[in-house]
Amino acid sequence: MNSKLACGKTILTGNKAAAYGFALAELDVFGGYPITPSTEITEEMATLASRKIISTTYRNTDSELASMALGIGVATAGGRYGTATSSQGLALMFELLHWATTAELPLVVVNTNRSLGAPWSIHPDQTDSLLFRDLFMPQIYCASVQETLDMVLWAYRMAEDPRVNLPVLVCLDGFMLSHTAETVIIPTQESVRKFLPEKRFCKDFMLPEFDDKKIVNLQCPYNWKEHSRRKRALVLAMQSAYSAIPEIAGDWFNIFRGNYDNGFLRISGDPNAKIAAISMGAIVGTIEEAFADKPVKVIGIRFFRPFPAKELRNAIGNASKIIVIDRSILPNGHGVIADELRLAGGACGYNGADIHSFVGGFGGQNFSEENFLNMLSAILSEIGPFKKTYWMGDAQ
Amino acid sequence: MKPKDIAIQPFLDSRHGLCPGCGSAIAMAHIQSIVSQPLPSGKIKKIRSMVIPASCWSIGSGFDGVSFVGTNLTNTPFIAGATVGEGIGIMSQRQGLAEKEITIVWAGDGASFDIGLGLLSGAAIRNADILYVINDNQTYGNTGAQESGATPEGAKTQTSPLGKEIAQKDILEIMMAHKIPYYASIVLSVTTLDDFYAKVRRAADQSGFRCLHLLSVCPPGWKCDAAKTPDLAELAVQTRAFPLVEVIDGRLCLTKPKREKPIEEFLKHQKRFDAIIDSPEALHKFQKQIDNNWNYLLRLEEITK
Repeated sequence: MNSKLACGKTILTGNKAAAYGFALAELDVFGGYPITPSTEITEEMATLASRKIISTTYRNTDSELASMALGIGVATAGGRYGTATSSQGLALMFELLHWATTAELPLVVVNTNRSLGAPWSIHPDQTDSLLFRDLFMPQIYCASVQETLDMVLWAYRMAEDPRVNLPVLVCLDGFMLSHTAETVIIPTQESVRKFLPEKRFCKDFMLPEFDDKKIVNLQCPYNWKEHSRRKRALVLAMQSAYSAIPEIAGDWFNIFRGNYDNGFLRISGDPNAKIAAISMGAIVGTIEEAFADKPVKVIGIRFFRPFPAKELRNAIGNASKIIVIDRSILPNGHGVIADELRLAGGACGYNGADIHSFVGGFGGQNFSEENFLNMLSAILSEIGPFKKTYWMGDAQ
Repeated sequence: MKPKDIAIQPFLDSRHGLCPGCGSAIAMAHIQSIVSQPLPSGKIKKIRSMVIPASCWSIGSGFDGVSFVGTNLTNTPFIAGATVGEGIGIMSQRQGLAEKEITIVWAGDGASFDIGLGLLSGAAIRNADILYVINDNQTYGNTGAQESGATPEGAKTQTSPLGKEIAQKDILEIMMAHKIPYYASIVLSVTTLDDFYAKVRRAADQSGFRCLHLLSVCPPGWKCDAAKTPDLAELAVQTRAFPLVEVIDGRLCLTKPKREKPIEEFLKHQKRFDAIIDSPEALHKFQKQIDNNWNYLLRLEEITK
């Protein structure tokens, strides 16, 4: 199986890397439906499957809703499933995505981030996937092409962890990552099998195996006690996902030598810096470059769900100013990460550090290193604390 | 194998929550019994799961994880039944069990004609390996009898209190347009028993996308006597309100009723049609539509021979 799949050092786009992640995960079924900018993941999976380079059953579905329905069926019957989408497609999946999470069905959705309309846009921001932040579904945000491939494999490890059993969402920024080519190392199938063993049978959430005499009624009505039990189990599953992250990162390092620290965050710069810049996704790399010789530590959030409040507290340390760069906006005027930090701040004690919230990146607004440097000088010249949100572009 | 040779298994637990006189409850017990017997080719198939999108069966078929129908049940959201079934069917194929297992999607007319039509179309055109039963009671039964795409024109429902003003969707032609290997309409009654059993056996025996369009008498929705269910099912066929067809690889075959009756014989037992019964003009128009459809099917049978 999959013996013909390329491995070793090569150059891939983010979308192709996501497809290689799926290919190496040896899926039973992939459901494909095109949507910009995720389409190439689907095309690559269709090509790999129809040329028998992988043994996955590929299906062209009739909508993202059907892609998710197919996944519910495959996972219910014990199979490993994946699909890829963006923005409007993810939104269309919502009913069934919620069903899959609460039915505790492990599967993986790759979302190539794109603005969720209206107005109509194919440009990248994170308003699509972050709309799903209240689902019991771990969310991973990738900052590089290599990370995209790796995180698809992490996602299956986490989804199928018997303590977790949830769908996992892997996000990569449209165009900025999906269409950017970088050097990548494709691991060998043998080494991936060590990291991601065959799917375990989980009797609680799947149809019994052929010879089993047991008869189940999956997702039928229950009394309120069972409903409460299941809601609590979902909370527990998310907590288990949190504790699984360092284990997965450790196993990954042992097998592949790829270093993601403890998995939650990507941290660079002076650990004692008094300013911490926090963001998520492909722009983390640009921020790192902009602040390379500035007294700023840059923190990229890899796992947005479960939200790494404790890890962020440690990473922020003694910093007295926190810059948050969000590519999303909430009705209360906050960016999503800034909102989460403000929410978690009390319990996590960010040492009273001021949160300077920047939002932008909508409708194709591009961020250069210069934007981030201007932002920094604006903050350094002002005295906090600031409660307001700066719109990128206004601060220049 | 004749109907008398197939003992009805105790598939339907008496705790089930279907209404008195529910046509679909008896049909469920019969279909499960038929499918679980050796099929015409000699194959024996185990029901992998019945897939139940939102319908009366979502609340009627079990509780607290217990199945009242004797087989595994997979409940799904309203829209998703066909494709969830397809996913289960693909896994049977990948596990080498496609000849030994059968996945049955048991979906209502709302789930099939309306909300789930898109996904049904996708699963049908991909020739998903499922037996898809349209459990058609011509109304949204579980919510208390509202108008669906399958409601006959003129019939009263909770959301068409003066009678449905638009046409009934033609699911036969929709499914025929998908070139599926097997389609049949079935009715469970004394005089249609042989037809019912033969079609269910043929459908279960095959692989690929098979669709059984089952007319289910619904006493609360049709506003009829619960004791009249088998009679009304029979009358639907005898009055040609529900023609029995079988379509194999595009060839349509019509089962003609031995005794034909005028449409009012079917309508007069159902209060949902009282406005039609009371109006000779409306009744004439209704009869005309029935005749036109029947003649169309006769021509279709001839053309597709």
